[in-house]
Amino acid sequence: MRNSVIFSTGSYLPESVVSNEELAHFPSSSIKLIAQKTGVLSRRIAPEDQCTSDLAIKAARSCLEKADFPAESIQGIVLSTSSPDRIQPATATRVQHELGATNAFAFDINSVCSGSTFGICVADALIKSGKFENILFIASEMYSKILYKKDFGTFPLFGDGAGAILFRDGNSDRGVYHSCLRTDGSKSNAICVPAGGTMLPFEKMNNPRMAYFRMNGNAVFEFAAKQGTQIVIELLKESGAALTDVDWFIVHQANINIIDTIASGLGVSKEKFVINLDRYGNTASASVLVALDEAISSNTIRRGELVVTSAFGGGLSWGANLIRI
Amino acid sequence: MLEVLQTIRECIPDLFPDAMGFPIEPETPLNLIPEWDSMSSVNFKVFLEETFGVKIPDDLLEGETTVGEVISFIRRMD
Repeated sequence: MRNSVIFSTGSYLPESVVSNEELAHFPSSSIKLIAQKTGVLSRRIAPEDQCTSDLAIKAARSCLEKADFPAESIQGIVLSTSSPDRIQPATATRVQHELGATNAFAFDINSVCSGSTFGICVADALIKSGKFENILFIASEMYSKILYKKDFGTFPLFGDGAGAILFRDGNSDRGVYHSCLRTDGSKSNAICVPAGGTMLPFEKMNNPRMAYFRMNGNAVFEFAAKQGTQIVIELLKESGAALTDVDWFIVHQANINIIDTIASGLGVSKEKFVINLDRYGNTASASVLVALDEAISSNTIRRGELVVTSAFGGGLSWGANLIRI
Repeated sequence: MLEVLQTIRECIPDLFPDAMGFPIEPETPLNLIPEWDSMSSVNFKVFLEETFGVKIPDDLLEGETTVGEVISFIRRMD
């Protein structure tokens, strides 16, 4: 059976580490809340002169170099981002050019923080269509530039970063087994950047903060804890796998309390969950790919092991993938 | 009292966009304001301190505290 095998992974985090204590524009008495409420201790912030595609390019190069895979052999690039370089063209196009992937088509997807799971599903489907032998999937985010810097409700939570996966077709038992994708558009306002699109063009906005990311924290926490658990149950049920078959869980790195709730809800030891949000914060759709790359590179996750990836975010949207590494 | 209340009413939609049109009265508990949570409440604390020049204790904005209790605190410190 044709399968989409993870041939290589890569990631890139900006060098600048910003600890909670360095967020000096917030009240010092409130800084302790960041770790208590989210588990985030520090995040990476990209330089002012860089944009989302710069991170994507570095993650992609890391991925290709590990596999010694020539860029000109890439057939397609799918890039997940909810913090694109520009409204148009697709951020993926600059990545394609800078990589020298001259034979690849390139386009963006945006499912906000769940873009990792949606992108894995899209890449898998493109390969299983039989039309493509390989797809480079990248997730890259630079939330430092779409967050209102004085908003304590959002700014301390996020960080910048990018991850990449090179999928190739194969006939072994490795690869993407199954994906579940869900959307509830009735709650599309719960996480959004209100202005800058056709719904509220910049010249029509009456409050500058409408140009920045905002999130209804309580509502999103409740949604993520509930659906983040349920989607894993549905994924396993649909694929016929048992919870005990799964070696590792890589859940969107939004908040340690959400991950704790999901682990508890599934009845799975937290030791089976890959965690890096303490160091990187929430890197939106990049978080799962960054965690996957780190876990594979450090031999924490080994070839042949069964991994569940799951993510949740704006849309509202959520998804999960079952992958044998 | 009314001046402080009016200032708070004007700041709420800026700090909590989902609260646009939400009635802010002295008896309104802060934790009923749409988008209010322990993190976003820090934005309200910063606003009060910068606008009224008072130091807001951490526990004042927790639990069932009402808008009126915040106003009373600010007037006592004034």
